[in-house]
Amino acid sequence: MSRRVTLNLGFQGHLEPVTVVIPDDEPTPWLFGERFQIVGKPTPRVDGALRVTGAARYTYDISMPGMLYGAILRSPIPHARIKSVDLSSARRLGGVRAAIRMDDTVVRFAGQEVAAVAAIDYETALDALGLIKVEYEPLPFVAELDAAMKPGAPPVFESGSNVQRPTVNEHGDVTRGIAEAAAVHEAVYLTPVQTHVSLEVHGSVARWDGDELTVWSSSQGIFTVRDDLAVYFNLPHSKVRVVCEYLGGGFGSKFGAKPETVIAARLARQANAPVKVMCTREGEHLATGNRPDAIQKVRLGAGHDGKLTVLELVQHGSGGIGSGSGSAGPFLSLYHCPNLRTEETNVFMNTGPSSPMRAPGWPQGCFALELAMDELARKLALDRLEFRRLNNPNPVRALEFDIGAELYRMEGKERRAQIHGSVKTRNRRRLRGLACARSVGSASPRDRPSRRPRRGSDGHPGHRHRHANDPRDGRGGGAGRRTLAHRLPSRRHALSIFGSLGRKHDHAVHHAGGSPGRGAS
Amino acid sequence: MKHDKHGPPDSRAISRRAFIKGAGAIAATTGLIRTPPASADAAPDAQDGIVERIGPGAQTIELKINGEVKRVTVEPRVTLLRALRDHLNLTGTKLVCDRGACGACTVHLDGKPVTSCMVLALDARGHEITTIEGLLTPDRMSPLGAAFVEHDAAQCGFCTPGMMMSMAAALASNPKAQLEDVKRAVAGNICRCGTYPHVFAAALSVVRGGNRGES
Repeated sequence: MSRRVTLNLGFQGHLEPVTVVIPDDEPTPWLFGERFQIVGKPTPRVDGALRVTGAARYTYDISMPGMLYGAILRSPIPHARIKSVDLSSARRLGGVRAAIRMDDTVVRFAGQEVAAVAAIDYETALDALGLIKVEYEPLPFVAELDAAMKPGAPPVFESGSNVQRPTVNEHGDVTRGIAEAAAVHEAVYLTPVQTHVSLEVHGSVARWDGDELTVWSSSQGIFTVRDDLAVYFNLPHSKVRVVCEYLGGGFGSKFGAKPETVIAARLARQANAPVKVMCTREGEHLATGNRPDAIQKVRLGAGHDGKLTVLELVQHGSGGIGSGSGSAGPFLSLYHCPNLRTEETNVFMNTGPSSPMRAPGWPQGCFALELAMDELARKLALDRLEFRRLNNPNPVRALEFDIGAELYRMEGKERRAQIHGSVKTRNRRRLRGLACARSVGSASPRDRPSRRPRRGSDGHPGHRHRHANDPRDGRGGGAGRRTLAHRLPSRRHALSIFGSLGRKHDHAVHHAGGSPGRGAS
Repeated sequence: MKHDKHGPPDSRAISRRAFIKGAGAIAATTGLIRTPPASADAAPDAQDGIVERIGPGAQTIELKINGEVKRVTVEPRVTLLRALRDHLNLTGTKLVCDRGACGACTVHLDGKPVTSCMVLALDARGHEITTIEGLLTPDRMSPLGAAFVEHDAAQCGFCTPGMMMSMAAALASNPKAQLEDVKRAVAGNICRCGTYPHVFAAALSVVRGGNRGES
C-alpha cells in the first residue's frame, strides 16, 4: 500500500533527513540537487510554433457551423433601478436569433450587463443592441473611495453602510511599540485601481447538445467555470464540459463563469445554436475585474538596534461592488515585530467588481510597507538591506537576500547584460530600488492533476489520464508538463490538459500523447 | 520604413478614422463614398466626386490575401480585421483593442504593416494583403519565426502574430537592424506578458544570422 522513504529536504545549506510515507502508486519525490534527463534542460516550448504562426486557436478564434455572435448591452449609468427592458424591436431585426435580459433589477455600476443578443454576425448584434429600450430610474451613486467612506454617502447596497466590518490582526501592543521606538515613520500610501488588460478579452463560446452544455472559455480555471455553470443551469457536473486550449492572458481575472459566459450559454439555449460572446475592450475594463485601490495609513517604529518595535496598518480599499481589497499580507508575514496590528476595511462603491490580480493585495501592501521600511532605515541611518536582514525571521529569505545583494552589486554593463543580453540600454539613468516580497504559491487541490487512474476515452484501461486545469496562458508550467508528457518513453501516460471532467472524452480536444506541436496535449 | 500604422498606405483610400471623421454626417451608416485621388482627411464631396456608392447592405468584394483572391460578402462598416477573422477564418490576426492602439491585428498591405482594425475591408480592395498565415506556418517557418520559438519570444502568444508582422516588415526593409531599430519596430505592439527582451533577441539573432526575416 505504501512505503517509508527518507528524503533530504530543505534548501541550500539547510538540508535534513525526513522520513515520509508514500503510497505505492506515487513516485518518490525529487531530491535536492538531483539531476534529470529532461527537467532542468532548456527546451523550446512544445507549442511555440503554433503561437508564433497564429495557428494556435484561442477562445476568440473558435468558430463552428451555425455559430452566432453575441453582444452585451451594458448600463451607461452607475446606479439605477431597471423599470423595463423592451427586447421586442431587437428580436424583430433580421438576423437576430436570441435576446435576453439579465436577472438583476438594479444596476450598481456603469458597465453592468443589462441585456444581450445573438445574431448571425457581429454587426447585426450591435444593431440589435441599439434597438433595446431600457427604462432606468437613476439612483444616487458614489464612485470614489474617499466619498464612499463618508457618513451619508449613497449606499451601494440597500442593506447598509458602504464601509464593511474591518478585518483586524493583532499581537503585542502598538502603543507600547511606539513608546519603545527610537524612530517612527508614519505616512499614508495611495495606490490606484488597475485593470488586468488581458490581450484576449473575457468571453466564451457555448453550445448545447440536448441538455449537455459545452463551453469554450477564455479561462484560467475551467473547473471553476464548470462548477458555476452547473449551479446556474442546475445541471450535474457530468453535463457541463469546459474547454480552454489557449489563453490570451488572464492575470488572475479569469476564474469562474462570469456574466459573459452565462450570457453565451443562455443565448445559445434560446437560439438553439452555438453562440460566441466576447467582451468589447470597453466592457473588459468596466466589468471583468480590477485590482482595488487602497488608502494605507502606516506606522513603523524601530529601536536603535534596528529591530522593529511596532508595525501598524490601517487600510481602506474598494473592490467596487465586490470585496477582497485587503493588503495586509506583507505586513503580517515579511518581518518579525513584537507589536503588530493591521486593520483592513473594504468599502463598497458603484464601480465594477474587483477580481484577483497577480498576488491579490500584495503589490499594494508591499508598496506601502517597503517604502516605509526604506524611510525608517534612513531615519535610523541604517543600510536598507541590513535593516531588512535584522528583522527577517526566515532563513530562506536570508539566503535570497544574499543572492539579491550579489546581483545588486553587479554594476554597469555586467548588470545590464544580465537583464538584456549584450545590449546597451537607451536610458542610462536607470533608477534602482530595493524591496522584499513573498510569493504565496498555492493551487486549489481540485486544480491539480487528478491522480485517479481513469479509463481512457478509447476504452484502453492501461492509459492513465492526468486531468490538469492547465490553460496555455504562457507561463510555462503547462509547457513543462507537456514537454515531459511528450518525452515519456511510453504512451501509457497521457495528459488531458484542456477539458474539465465531463462524462465524455473528446479526442478532438484531448490528444492522448500526441506529437509535439500538434493540437492538444 | 516608418509610416502611419493607423491607415492604409494608399492615401486615396479612406481610413476608418477619416471616414468617420469626414463623412459621418453625410454617409453615417447609409453608404460609403470613394472619392478620386485626394487627401484622406478631406471630406468627400457628395456632389461631384462620387465614383462608387456602396451599402448600406452587404456586398461581395474581392480581396487578395496571401496571394489568393478571396471573395467575401461584407457591409461597408466591416473592418479588414473582422473580414479576416469572422468571414475568412484567418484567426491568426488578433482582435485586442479594436482601435489601432495595440498592434495585435497588424497585417501587411502592399508589404507595409497596418493595423487591420483601422482599415475597412472595402478599402483593402486592390491591395496585396499579407496575414500571419501568409508569412509562415508551423510547417513552413521563417527564420524569424524559428528565432521567436528559439528565443521563447511568446508567452501567452496573443500579441505574437502582430509582433511577427511588424518585425518581419522592419527586417525586410532594414536587414541590418540594430537594437533601437527592432525596438522601434514593435513600439506599437503591446505585450502584457513582457516578452519584449526575447522579441528583441530573436530579431537580432536573425540580423546576425544574415537572414532577412522573410518567409
